[in-house]
Amino acid sequence: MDFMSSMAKVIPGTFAPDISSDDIPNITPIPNGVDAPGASSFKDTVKGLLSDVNDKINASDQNTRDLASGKTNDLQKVVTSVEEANLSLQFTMAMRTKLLDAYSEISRMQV
Amino acid sequence: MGDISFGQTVGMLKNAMDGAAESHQVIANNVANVNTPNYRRSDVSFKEALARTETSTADPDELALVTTNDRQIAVGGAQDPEPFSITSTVDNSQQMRVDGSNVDVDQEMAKLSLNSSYAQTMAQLLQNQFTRIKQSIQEHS
Amino acid sequence: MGLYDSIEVSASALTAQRLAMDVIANNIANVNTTRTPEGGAFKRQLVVFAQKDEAASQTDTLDGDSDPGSARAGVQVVGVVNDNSPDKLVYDPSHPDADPQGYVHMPNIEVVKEMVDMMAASRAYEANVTAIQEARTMGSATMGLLRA
Repeated sequence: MDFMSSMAKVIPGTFAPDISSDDIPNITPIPNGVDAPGASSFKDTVKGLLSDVNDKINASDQNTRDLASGKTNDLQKVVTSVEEANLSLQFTMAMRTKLLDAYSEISRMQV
Repeated sequence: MGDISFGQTVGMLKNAMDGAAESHQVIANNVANVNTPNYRRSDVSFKEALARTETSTADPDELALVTTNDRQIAVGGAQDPEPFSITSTVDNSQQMRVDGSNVDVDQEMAKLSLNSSYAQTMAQLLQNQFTRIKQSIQEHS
Repeated sequence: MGLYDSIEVSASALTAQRLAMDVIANNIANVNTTRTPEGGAFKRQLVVFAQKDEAASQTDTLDGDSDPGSARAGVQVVGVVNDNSPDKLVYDPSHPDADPQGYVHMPNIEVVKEMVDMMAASRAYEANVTAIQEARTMGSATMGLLRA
């Protein structure tokens, strides 16, 4: 988790939970009769997404370093991997914002 | 509070740009002296030094040679990063021109052009790194 | 050192090559000049280039080190000298400047050679202009880092 964990160290409060621990509550979907056997929980989805972004970022960084040191001359590969990583990060950030907004809205609800 | 480290890639891109700037200086000097009698052209190398600044981990499928003495050659295995340095060497090869300068202006212009695109690419990639960091810092998009 | 110094390096070459072109143009213009103020036919002139070394700066910088100077500051013209190879002798007794034997001393200038030198100087000039443009482009790409 390089990028994410270094972000969390530098800027506290960024959405970069330490997914190695099991503190994230395991919210499973409410059974409604027909339930897929391997239904993924919310936590797993989040885990998968973050891990994917991290992989993409690391791959694009490695490609960038290879281009800088002359190990590769494939500009196409580097540029597409960089853009993919950028978009994945933006998507994850947008999701984070939505989740935070949803949480705030719920917590504001009068019970 | 200690330094904020922005990661290996940002450091490498900064060094790459330094290397490219130095290269440009040397190439420009070669081009300026294209007609100077007995001039010897110079070269700059920094990309290999750049590669050596990377920390690399051992390839699990490879058997690394074990060394017990500094003078033995190590192949494979993890590599310790070495600090970056830019080296400039003088090319003393023989010239074929009557005036004695060993500058080939076409070669130098080609190097100049390549170096310039390299530098611009590095600048763009560095800018991208910073943008990514900024995005992570943003509270609300 | 850095990008802006390299622009000075290239600029030094522009000056030097332009001077070379002027000298060559002067040679071509005087290809038939048999009378000069110094006496005798016009002598071909050539430009001597030398690598320019940046002088070591004697003043200390703020943190106490002095700049050792660099051997890479471009090119300079160290002299415009006469080519002392023999004049061309043309047999023409009717020429006002003919010597007693009827030979006229013509300048030791070959127009074809001068044209070739002119092309070399011109190409060098253009190459240095390109170097300056590239330096500017690189500088501007670096500045682009500051744009959001």
